[in-house]
Amino acid sequence: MNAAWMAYLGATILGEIVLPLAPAATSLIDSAVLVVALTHFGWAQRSPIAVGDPTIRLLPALALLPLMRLLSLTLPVPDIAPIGWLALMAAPLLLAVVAGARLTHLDVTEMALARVSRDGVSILMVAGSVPAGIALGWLAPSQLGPRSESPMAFAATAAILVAGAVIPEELVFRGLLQPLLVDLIGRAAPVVVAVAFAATYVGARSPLVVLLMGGIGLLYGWEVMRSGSLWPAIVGHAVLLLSGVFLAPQLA
Amino acid sequence: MTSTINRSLVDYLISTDYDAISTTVGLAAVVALLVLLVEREAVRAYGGDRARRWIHGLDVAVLPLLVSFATIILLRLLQLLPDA
Repeated sequence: MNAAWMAYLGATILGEIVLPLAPAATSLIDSAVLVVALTHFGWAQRSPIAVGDPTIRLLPALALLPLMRLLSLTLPVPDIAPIGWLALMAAPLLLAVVAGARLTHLDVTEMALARVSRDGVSILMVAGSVPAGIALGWLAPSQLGPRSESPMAFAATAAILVAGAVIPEELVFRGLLQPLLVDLIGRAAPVVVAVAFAATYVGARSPLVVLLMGGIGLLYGWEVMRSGSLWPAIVGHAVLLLSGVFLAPQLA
Repeated sequence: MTSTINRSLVDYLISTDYDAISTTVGLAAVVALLVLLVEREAVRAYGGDRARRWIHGLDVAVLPLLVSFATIILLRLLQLLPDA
């Protein structure tokens, strides 16, 4: 069973890599097949021992990655700006995270949500997300900015970015996948999660963006492991994204 | 730029006709949802603890896909309403 999660993760990463190269349908079919396959882990749950098997627990959490891509390819509708697509995705994504956490028996402590870290390293990481976000905004100009200059448009855009992208992504990658992978491969888990996180940015068509997000994913993963708190990663990711969308165009 | 919305995806969705997306990408998603729903009902017929766990496993994908499906239907209806 140990090779199974690697094969599924490899296929998920492959689906992300083909997204900018082949018609989106290729990536979508890969995602749909993976979602169906990964949600069939019930077949393996034949005995109480299998229920506690870390690989069995990991598979439904892995299903969230192709599910994210499936939703991002199917939910966007014409006449709505890309920021609106994120708003449409927020509810199903959060629903998937809750169902995944319930199924894998992860509680808020294991998901590192019970503790709030405010030490110097956490604050430094959050502060460092500002220049990283500006660099991201310069390397890949955002298509998620507000449509008007009004404060309400800025506030709504910021709220959608946090609720539709930051929170679901952090919960999936560092909240669910990382603790389940730690059970399997120990301290190497943040590296694997960072690779999967970086792969979702291949669609940016910029190797520098993929490298930057891989590094940021590794830093956030390490911080979650060090502090036992997901909150610095959530706040850091929010600062990163908001800096990229709002600050980078002003400073360009 | 996020994990879910990236340049390739925006370029594809903006440059492709919505009807073409519905009959390719949308169709694949609907087929995946149908497979999962049919299986969910078949498994439920067996009953028992293993079937219950299996259904919970399927729900990880079924619930978000159902919400997405309902959202798309609602938005399409809203688009059609002014013409009615």
